[in-house]
Amino acid sequence: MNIRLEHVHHIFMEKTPFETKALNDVTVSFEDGSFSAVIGKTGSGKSTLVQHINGLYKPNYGSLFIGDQEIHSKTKRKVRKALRKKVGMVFQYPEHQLFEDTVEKDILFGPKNAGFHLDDMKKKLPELLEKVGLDESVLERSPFDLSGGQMRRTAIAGVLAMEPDVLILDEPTAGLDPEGQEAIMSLFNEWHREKRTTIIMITHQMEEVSRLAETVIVMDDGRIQMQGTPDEIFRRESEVRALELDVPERVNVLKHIEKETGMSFSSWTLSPKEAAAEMQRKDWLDKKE
Amino acid sequence: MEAVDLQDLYFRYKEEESFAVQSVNASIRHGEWIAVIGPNGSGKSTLSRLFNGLLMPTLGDVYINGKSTQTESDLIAIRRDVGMVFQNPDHQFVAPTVRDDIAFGMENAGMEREEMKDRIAEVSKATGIDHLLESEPHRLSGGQKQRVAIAGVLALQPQIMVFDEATSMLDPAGRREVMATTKKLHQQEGITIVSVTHRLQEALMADRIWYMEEGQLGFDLPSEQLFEQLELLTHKNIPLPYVLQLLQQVRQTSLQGSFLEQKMKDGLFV
Amino acid sequence: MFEHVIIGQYLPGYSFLHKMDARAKLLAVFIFIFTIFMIETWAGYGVLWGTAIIVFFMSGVPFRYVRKGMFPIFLLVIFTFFLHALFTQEGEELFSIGVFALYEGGVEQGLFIAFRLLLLVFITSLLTLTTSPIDLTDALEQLFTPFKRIGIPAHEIALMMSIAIRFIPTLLQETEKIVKAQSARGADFTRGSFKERSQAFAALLVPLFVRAFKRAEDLALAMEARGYNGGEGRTKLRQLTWRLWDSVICFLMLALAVLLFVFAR
Repeated sequence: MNIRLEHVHHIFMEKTPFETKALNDVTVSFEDGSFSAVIGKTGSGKSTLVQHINGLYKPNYGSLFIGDQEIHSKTKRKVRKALRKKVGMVFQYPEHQLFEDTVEKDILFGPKNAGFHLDDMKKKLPELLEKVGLDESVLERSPFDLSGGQMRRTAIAGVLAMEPDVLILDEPTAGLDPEGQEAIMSLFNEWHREKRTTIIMITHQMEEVSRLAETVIVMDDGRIQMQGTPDEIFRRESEVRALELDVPERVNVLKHIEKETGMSFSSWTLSPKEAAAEMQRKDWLDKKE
Repeated sequence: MEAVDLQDLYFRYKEEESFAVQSVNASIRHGEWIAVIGPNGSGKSTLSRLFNGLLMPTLGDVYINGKSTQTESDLIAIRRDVGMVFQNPDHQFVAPTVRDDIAFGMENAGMEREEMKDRIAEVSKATGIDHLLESEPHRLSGGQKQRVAIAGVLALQPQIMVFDEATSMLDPAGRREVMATTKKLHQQEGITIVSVTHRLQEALMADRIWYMEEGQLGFDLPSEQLFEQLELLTHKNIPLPYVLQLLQQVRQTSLQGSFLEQKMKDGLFV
Repeated sequence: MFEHVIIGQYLPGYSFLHKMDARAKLLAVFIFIFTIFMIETWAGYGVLWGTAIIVFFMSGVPFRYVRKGMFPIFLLVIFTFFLHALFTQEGEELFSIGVFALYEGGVEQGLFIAFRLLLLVFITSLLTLTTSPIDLTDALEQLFTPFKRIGIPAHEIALMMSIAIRFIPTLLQETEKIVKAQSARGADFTRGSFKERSQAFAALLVPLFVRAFKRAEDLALAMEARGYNGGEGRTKLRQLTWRLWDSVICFLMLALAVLLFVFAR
């Protein structure tokens, strides 16, 4: 599904002394089947932006199109609610939303609300569990008896179970150890490749951005400041830093090597293997020593 | 005398469970910085809680400056000597404002009011939060809250500070703030640091790295030797930061990696 | 979104009332409330209202804030007025509609109760509007410490209150977050059958409680690590300062109470 926002404004507590413009004339589109990252410092409007896409918010001015559905300030609740069947959202620390007495019931909570056929859903559960890296034996257990990592996988399964066309991820790896982070990100990456789901991810992990995203959207102060491929964005390093954001570690490393040796890499988002290969081709290290 | 001495240490939460910490023998010198790494559930947080008697050894002993945490009369002194900063910035902020929160530990210790005021001024400056003293916690960022927690601990003038995954819930800016503060305390105040972390980049700032695995001390290495042990880390399934992955790749080619290694040791990429 | 939440009603300021010691304010309000219940003459009420209005001007609080605080009570006041007016059958009958009849005594009684309630809310609003919750907690703790002997755990109650104050914004943020997360999974908090809605609320309340317990556990550990060991031997950074004016106000309030008790009961 194509997603397009046109001149979207969102204002909290409009016409009060506390009025804040969370989104200020945002125009952007997300192509069907793409993997985009939205970055920006805390309070830049990135969460407000993505929460428009699954209908949690509606614009004060302007409109957005999700597929052929238009959402504007007068759109009815019912329409926005229906949107949630197509647009799934994994919140930050999603394990905090678990509440049922078994894992199975919790996973099926969303599908049940959306009116899915539960017997069909149950048949699909083993496959889904395997995808998120959970053993079938957890189904009958209480989600609160699981480890932190398993709880997060359960919550994610609850969102994936609806097989949404669009998947919004709000810092899905926050608070995990590096192994857990890798596992969760490769899970989403696999899902994206296999189902061609459109993914929009908010993250502070710039390494994840450079590794996975096709497009990067940089937000600040309710506006979109930059947009492009990870390489394009992080080449404009000083601008990124001026917005109080980091660049990926690999950008730092590769740039530093360039500076020290005078060689230049074809991109600043190369994997370690690719970077080593380019270095070998240039054979620069020997010369250096 | 060592700052911390762990002797044949075992701990389990319940009698029917297996040991969360087992047969740990190690010590920490005054002024040293130890990073404790290891997968989730490896016992590293449990270990950190044994340092100030929040948990008591099932077997063996923990000595802080030669005093066992199991000697009840020493426990108050040990808790003042060993300050702890926990993972969740929101769950250790007790009082309604920054100033009151910094005072909390000193109030518990029954300190004079004038002394408290002096120390609040001092530690809030050292942690860079002196402009926030009147603020309420919900108006602070995660990094600021953690620095308030550090200030509150610092006010009791501890010799040892234990950071139990204190950066894991922070954004990169918050992480940098906390790490810079930690580094400053270590270098300028000479405080002994134990930081439990799962970020290898942070661990590399320490003098020594302990790797925990299934409750045991898997290895105990000076941090600069970690560059020699990349295979070991890969073998243990520890994801390497980009720069170490690159180093690993470079070593597999005909190239020499010493340039990279030197740069890393200089701390450029950390 | 919750950055602007004001805890309690406290309105920071520098008026005479703001500067008074919270203990003095509490004592004075306590005497005032006691007097309200002792007095049953219109003249006495006139004096009390007069006093309350003087206090209001001393507070420097804009009237709309007081009105806002009193509004929820207003319905209750109207309700009690009619209750008393209709069921007290004293004095002359004013008029009647069907089975309902209004008597002079009833109307008087109703008005009396209404004024009493309004006065109560008015004066306590002024207290909470000019005293920060933290000072109020401290004052309560100190005023109740002498009653420890009869088993009132003043320190513990005050600590509970201050932790509650501190965590209200956290709780609000968390509620907002979970409501959003469950809405995203199709839970509906405003529509649907009773069963659907009660399930939606379980989806909100269970996570909130689970988080609250986890938080309490973490907090207890953090407090222990920072040497918390109960109220014994603890000092306090925050200090309330009792000045001459505080004694004067308390004395005046007491004198007023005695005078009213003697002449206008």
